Amino acid sequence: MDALASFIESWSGGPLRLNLLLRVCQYFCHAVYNHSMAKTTLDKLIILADAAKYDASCASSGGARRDSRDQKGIGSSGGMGICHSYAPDGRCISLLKLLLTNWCTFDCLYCVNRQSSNVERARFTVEEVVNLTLDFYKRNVIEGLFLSSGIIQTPDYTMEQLIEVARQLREEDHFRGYIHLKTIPNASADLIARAGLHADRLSINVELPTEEALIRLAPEKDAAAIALSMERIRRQSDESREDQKAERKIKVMAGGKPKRKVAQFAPAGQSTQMIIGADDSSDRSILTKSAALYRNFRLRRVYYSAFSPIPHASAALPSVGAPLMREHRLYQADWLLRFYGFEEQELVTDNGMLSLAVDPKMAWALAHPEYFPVDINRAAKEMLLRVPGLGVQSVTRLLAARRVRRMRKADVERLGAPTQKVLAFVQLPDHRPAQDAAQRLLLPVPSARNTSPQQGDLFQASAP
Amino acid sequence: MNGQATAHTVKLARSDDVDGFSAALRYLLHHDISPAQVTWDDGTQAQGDLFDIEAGTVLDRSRVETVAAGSIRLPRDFLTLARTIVLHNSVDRFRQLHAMAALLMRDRHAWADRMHPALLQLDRMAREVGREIHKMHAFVRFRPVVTEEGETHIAWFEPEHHVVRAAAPFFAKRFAAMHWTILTPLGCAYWDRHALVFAPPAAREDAPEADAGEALWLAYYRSIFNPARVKVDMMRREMPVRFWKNLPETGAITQLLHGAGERTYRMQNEVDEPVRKRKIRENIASKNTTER
Ligand code: SF4
Repeated sequence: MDALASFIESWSGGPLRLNLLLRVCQYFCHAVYNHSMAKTTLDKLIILADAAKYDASCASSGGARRDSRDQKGIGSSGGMGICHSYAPDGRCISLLKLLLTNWCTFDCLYCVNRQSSNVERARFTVEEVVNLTLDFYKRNVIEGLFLSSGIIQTPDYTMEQLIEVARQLREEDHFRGYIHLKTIPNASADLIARAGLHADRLSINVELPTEEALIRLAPEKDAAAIALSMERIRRQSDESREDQKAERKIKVMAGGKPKRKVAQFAPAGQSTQMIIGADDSSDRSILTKSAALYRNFRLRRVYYSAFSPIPHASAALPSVGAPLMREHRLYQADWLLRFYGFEEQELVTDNGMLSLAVDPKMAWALAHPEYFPVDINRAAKEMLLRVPGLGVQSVTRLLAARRVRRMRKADVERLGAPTQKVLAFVQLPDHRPAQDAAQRLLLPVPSARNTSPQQGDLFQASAP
Repeated sequence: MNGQATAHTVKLARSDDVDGFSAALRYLLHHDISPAQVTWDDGTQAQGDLFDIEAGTVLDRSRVETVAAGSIRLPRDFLTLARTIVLHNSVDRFRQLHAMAALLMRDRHAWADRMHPALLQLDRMAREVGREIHKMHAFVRFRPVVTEEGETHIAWFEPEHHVVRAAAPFFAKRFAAMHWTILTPLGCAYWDRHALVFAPPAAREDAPEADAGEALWLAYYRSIFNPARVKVDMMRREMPVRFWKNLPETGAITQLLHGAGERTYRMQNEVDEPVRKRKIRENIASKNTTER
């Protein structure tokens, strides 16, 4: 088929009009190809899992509390998420992450499934996805399904297909595991409402930090429509929470059982993903965008995905990926925004970027020597949380223990935190850091534990 | 022990005999028996260690239960912690817990000192047990087997701590309508859709080999890997190598890593969009950049 395509191409020569002909012809060929050589489920799985791997999210926590003790179906959810395996890219495998199809009428340049890509195409039937999910689940290799799709026919049609998979799993197979559905931008409000009844989590990717970048790289996508979908999801879950509250109240007043249990809309909330490094947005604009997303749409998570070169790439994109370290630093900064009381403006340097050399908390501490050393026995919780090397858990422990007695150097050494790092920024009755202690941490020491820049202690200390 | 016979030997029913331990602890505290006077026998000790036991008083379950529950008051959090730590594989765990309990009997405030070295150590052990339970929930791999009575699912798993009983209820809730068995060298768990049954250790040979359907999972594992972002350390930290031999998908890791460089190179250099469209885009792109 490729030979045919290139033949037509060489033959078509000049006029632009013929280019259209070429596309139509290619589509036709693809269709014939796909029908003539019927793909097995295994063939499709290889194509459609490969196509889904650029979505970073694989979280399975926060779902509704369910189990199958009634022996009607299978599965449970509601605890913390479980990673059933890890790929050599270090990513957790928690969900069966699939595209229903990688055919797509959109042409987002960063995406391997865009219309103009020559990637091999496939499409699952609803039953195939349902069966794969149940089979994997019984082997105990997944917590559930994360289903997304290229856009075929119309956004609403595509969304209906996704919902149908979730509906069958829930209503026919009584699947009680976790379901994450990707929301198709521009899908109708009614469909979003239905999706949220079956899914634990809904997500819609903002894709790029700025509207300009979206226009340039994903011409068919529309920032306003994406925001509208997020807004709808937020409103639905607010309403559903209100309903549940009301229901509880009625229960208390009447002292009896409610007639019908109100199903909670997408109990694990919504998340999104941003591609880093496909455009020239700064870390500042990325973090500002994230902060706004958390605030406006009450997102549970913003995922950052370092732009990684994709097969069959468009020439309009950088051919080299963004450094994974940049992605890592953004995750650390995001974490600091949400749980450590930092503001995005504090974390970036003058050029609007996060330091690649040291983690954002360390970078902040180095830039603000006036706050250090921090007195472990006196400082407020907020300040202790800003000490490089101290995680939430260590801080909680120190706060509790110092009510009983004064903390000493030996206590810090026993914390299990990176001792040298912490000691460079704190003072204790039997310890004061040397003037240059913090700077000395930056010198390369081959024997030091934290030589690998991949291992920010921030995550080791507090990642869920 | 060093030849000096200890005065008391507590006999526990099993390594994870949480209730037996609680009862014994109550007895020891009530009679003011110090940790140094006690030998703990959970059935896993070598014969030589048990030699001394004859000399002391043997405290079995019927003996220790003479001290009523509730007669010894300890912080509730400590008791919860102890129930977890009993499942740890350290041979010293019973003594450490006894020592902590004795300390708390003397000084209640010791519990508030979250930085007390002994408490930090116990917390660490509890975390290790908790993590092992979590990893068991994650890494048990069921394989379907069809028998005359129908389909059953069997897994072989090798835990480091005594967590089989603690981890099993999770599977009973999740797979309540299935028949399943988890075989381990530290004891087995069966679910027949009615009750959880625990049985003595099994051997790896008792577990089934891969079935044909497992190929789908292996294919998925290979496909979901992104060769452009290899992070082996991260994988090893979260999926420690000691689990690999029982995780079928890890057989693909070497090959995936081996091919990653070449696949990434191809990704970065293959631009196979139809030439015409690409040319147009390049033109647009270069115009865009010159305009800026
Ligand atoms: S809509 Fe864009 S990002 Fe989504 S599959 Fe299609 S081309 Fe890819």
